[in-house]
Amino acid sequence: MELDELKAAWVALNAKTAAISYEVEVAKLESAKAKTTGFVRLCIFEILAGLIASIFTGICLVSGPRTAGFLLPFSLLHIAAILTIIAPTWQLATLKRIDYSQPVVEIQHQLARIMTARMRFTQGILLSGPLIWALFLAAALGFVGAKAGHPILTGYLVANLVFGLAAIPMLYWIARSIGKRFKGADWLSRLTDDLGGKSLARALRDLDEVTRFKQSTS
Amino acid sequence: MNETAERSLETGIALTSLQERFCRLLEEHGRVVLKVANTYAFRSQDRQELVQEIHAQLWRSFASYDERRPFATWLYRVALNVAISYVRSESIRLERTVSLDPELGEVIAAPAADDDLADRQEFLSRFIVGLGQLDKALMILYLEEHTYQQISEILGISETNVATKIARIKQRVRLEASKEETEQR
Repeated sequence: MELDELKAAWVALNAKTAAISYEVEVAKLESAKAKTTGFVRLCIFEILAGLIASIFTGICLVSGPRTAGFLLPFSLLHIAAILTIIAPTWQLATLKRIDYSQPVVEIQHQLARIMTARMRFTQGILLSGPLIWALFLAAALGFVGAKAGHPILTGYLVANLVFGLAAIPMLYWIARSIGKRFKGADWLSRLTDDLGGKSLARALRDLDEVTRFKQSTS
Repeated sequence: MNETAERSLETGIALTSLQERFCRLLEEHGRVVLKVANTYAFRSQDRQELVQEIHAQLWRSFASYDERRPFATWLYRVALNVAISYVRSESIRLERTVSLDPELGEVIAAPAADDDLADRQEFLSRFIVGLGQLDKALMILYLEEHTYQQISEILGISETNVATKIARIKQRVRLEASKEETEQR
């Protein structure tokens, strides 16, 4: 069979579309136009959460004790909070700039790049959760220690930081093991996919498909 | 009438004429949207959702449409871009709930007049399902009798690249058809 022989089959496959009277309702278009996607809502939520966190850490840094045990972990937390504003803002701004009437391959390449960056960011945030918690605990202990007038227990702090670091591969491993077997609530599947790198792998596969399509001429 | 009221009236009239122009053009060329949706979405619910999404994006982008350029090219670009993005996000959701199976596809074709055509329709449906998202776009454009130059303009790859990819698809069609014939014997 030849591809050109399939043209008649293509016409037949779409035969019903020719019979449909095509009408467009402007009211529906307006409401659909105003609809925000889950991606946009999630980015806005992350920006707001990042803003609240950076304001909180900023206020703590300015008004807290001037000791290394407090300033160091809170500075790191403040940087992390700012990063959680920058990344989704960039993603949202890039997405808003995308003109869908541009050539397909170019737009798909841009979308795949945003998706890859998004998945890297999400995985990074999720995996670094225990470390952020350990830093927060360190900062709180630093604060209490400074107020009480005696240094905090270094061993206890180091143990928490080590736990935070060790939890990263542990979480990754758990997410991958659960993700393979789990077919339940959508949000939990999404979480294990994002944490275990399945979502990132999917985004990279899409990016690779577009790149190969763009380049291959041989 | 004061200046503000006059301006808002002018804006209103301009918007209405823009809407009218958009609806007229879409009613003329809109079947492309249905064909794209039929190719990219399996279930009727998804197809309807995809058609809505394409319409919304077309309307969003319409203000920047340059009338000196062909409307069909512009329409194909938007429709294909939305469809591919939709399928990429929806396939994640479907993957989590049900397995992606071509059998999910409901028959949207008119009953074939003869057995040979019915076989070809079936083969074509299966073949399209097995293609990558960008190859699907290429396939639609080729089956819709677009020239290599038009395909190149819509997809944004060189004409040589289009020719190479079409040749590959032709080869794949031959191969899969002969494989099926062998299996049937």
